[in-house]
Amino acid sequence: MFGKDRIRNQPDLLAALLFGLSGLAGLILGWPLASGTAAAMGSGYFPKLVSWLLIAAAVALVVRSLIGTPEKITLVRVRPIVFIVIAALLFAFLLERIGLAVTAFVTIVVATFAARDISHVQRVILALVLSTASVVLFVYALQQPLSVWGPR
Amino acid sequence: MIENLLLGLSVAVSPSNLLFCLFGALVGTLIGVIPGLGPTATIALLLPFTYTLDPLAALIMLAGIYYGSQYGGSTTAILVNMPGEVSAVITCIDGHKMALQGRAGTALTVAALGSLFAGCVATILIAAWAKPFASLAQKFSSPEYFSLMIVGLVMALVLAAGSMLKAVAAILLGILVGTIGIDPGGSGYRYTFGQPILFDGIGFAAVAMGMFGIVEIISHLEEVHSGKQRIIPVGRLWMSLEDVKRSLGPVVRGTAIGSVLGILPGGGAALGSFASYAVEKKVSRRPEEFGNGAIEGVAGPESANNAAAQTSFIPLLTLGVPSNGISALLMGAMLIQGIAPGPNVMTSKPELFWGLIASMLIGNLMLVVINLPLVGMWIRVLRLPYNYLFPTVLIVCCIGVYSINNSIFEVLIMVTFAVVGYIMRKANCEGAPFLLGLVLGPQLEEYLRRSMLMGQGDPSIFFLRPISAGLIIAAIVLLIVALAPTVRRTREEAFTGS
Repeated sequence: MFGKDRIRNQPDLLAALLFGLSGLAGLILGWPLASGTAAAMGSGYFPKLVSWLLIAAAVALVVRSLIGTPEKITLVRVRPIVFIVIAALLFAFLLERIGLAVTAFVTIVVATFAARDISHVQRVILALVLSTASVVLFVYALQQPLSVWGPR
Repeated sequence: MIENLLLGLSVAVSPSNLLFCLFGALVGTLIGVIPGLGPTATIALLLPFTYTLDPLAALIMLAGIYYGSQYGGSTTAILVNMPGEVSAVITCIDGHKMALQGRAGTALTVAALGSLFAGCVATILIAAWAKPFASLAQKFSSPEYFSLMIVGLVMALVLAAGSMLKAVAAILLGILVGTIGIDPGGSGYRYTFGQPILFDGIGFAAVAMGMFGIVEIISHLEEVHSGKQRIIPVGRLWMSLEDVKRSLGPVVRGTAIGSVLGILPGGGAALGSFASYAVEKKVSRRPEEFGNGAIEGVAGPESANNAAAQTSFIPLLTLGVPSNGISALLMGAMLIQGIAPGPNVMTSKPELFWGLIASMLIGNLMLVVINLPLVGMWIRVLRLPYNYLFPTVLIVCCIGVYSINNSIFEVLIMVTFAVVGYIMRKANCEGAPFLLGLVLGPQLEEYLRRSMLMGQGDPSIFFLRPISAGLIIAAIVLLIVALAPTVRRTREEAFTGS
């Protein structure tokens, strides 16, 4: 039923999925919360209300995706999002284990893979410069309690 | 009003406040010039560091970043045809053409001076409107606040670029995410999965950085295919008498348009500049020049966007209701300092209120100096290839967001909402409504709960009280008007800048 040609507006369908699934999650995960009444709201009243509204919006968006103005999802390139996300996750994973200096270096090197036209030499130099500058700026100048080498 | 402004000035010219003003102006211009890093992400980034600062200094700096970015964004728009800031998109059209005609210096000058005029007028307007707004708010109770927020959200919908339905959904999602944590009554744990780290909810600074900072980087990398851009030499910073004559009208009109549109919830700099361009084109005796280097096409929008950037603080400072993403973040900054935004701030902390307003005058003056004579500095920044900039932005975001609570969790939040923000972008959904929902959600719930308590579960309480009823009717009328076919077309035109 949802063959590619039936969906005229792709962004709308994507939006419908995002919002609809969130609304569903809100309802399902919020099931055990007490709803109470309008006059005496329980902790679940408002979240469930909002979840239902989200689902309603998602349904409207699905309808619109079938009959609305044709539109495609534009410009999805794999490189940027994959490498930026991996770089940030690496940062989160490494920072408290091996300290800021090396973490920053690794994060930047990985991040530069998100762009196509950087040579390996440029990567390393950039990573060295930026990680040094970060340590100087955040630990020494701004006095943030970050460990530079090694675990916290 | 004058004594209040003088009080404000006396506080704003203290050495440390001046320093923070300068810092805000410089940072604002810098990020306005750099594509990909906008005022929202930057303010979010600096938010955690404001905890240790004096409240007035923090607000001065953050506000300076916002209207500073309007100045910086026009520099790139004129010289490189790349808007560093959303509101500068309009300036690209005629501003860059002027640069190509060898009149870059003139364009920069009219942009800066027009913005200065607008900034000063807007500051005076804020000072004049503050008391009336605040006294109106004295009559407000829970139902009125709830209705006001609904009006605000409706206006944010109407004035948002793109689909209103998606903006509604984004707001709702923001509200839902905002419910994560312990409920206001203290009894229920919502969506916390038993993890204590979630009891306080999801911090908006991390969310803002993910959705606006990281997503910008990713989007930019998807589009840009390296290559250095050609930067036009600036030439003389000069306006001929003819230029001045032609610019006067647009500057005044732009200031008026921007000041009004900025106050409206959901308004802000971008809308101001788009509306001004449309007006100038209609009003001009030489409409065919627009798009070919008409100075009016730079003077009007640049004044409008600066006026709007400043008046957008009025709802927050007087009513305690933020009208756009930036004021939502500033509200966050006030909350961090333990200041509850609302009509009382004006009377209980006059130095804070008037000091901030006075600092906007000072900031605008600083910005003219920063942007005109010192424009060479920014040109050097523009020459930096984006490949060097984006890792810098990324690592600064990561460290900054970690520093909020010395917690890896915040970094994970940032990444999560970067992904959510990316999906939303692909779905042609704006991020600002989400942020607005996230920040306003808890308040919205509280006012709803109290109103229902007052009305014993009967929703008619919103209609029985006159102010509240008026607000709700206004919201409904706005929605109907916005959905009317002719208005829809005008919206689309305004947002595609045609």
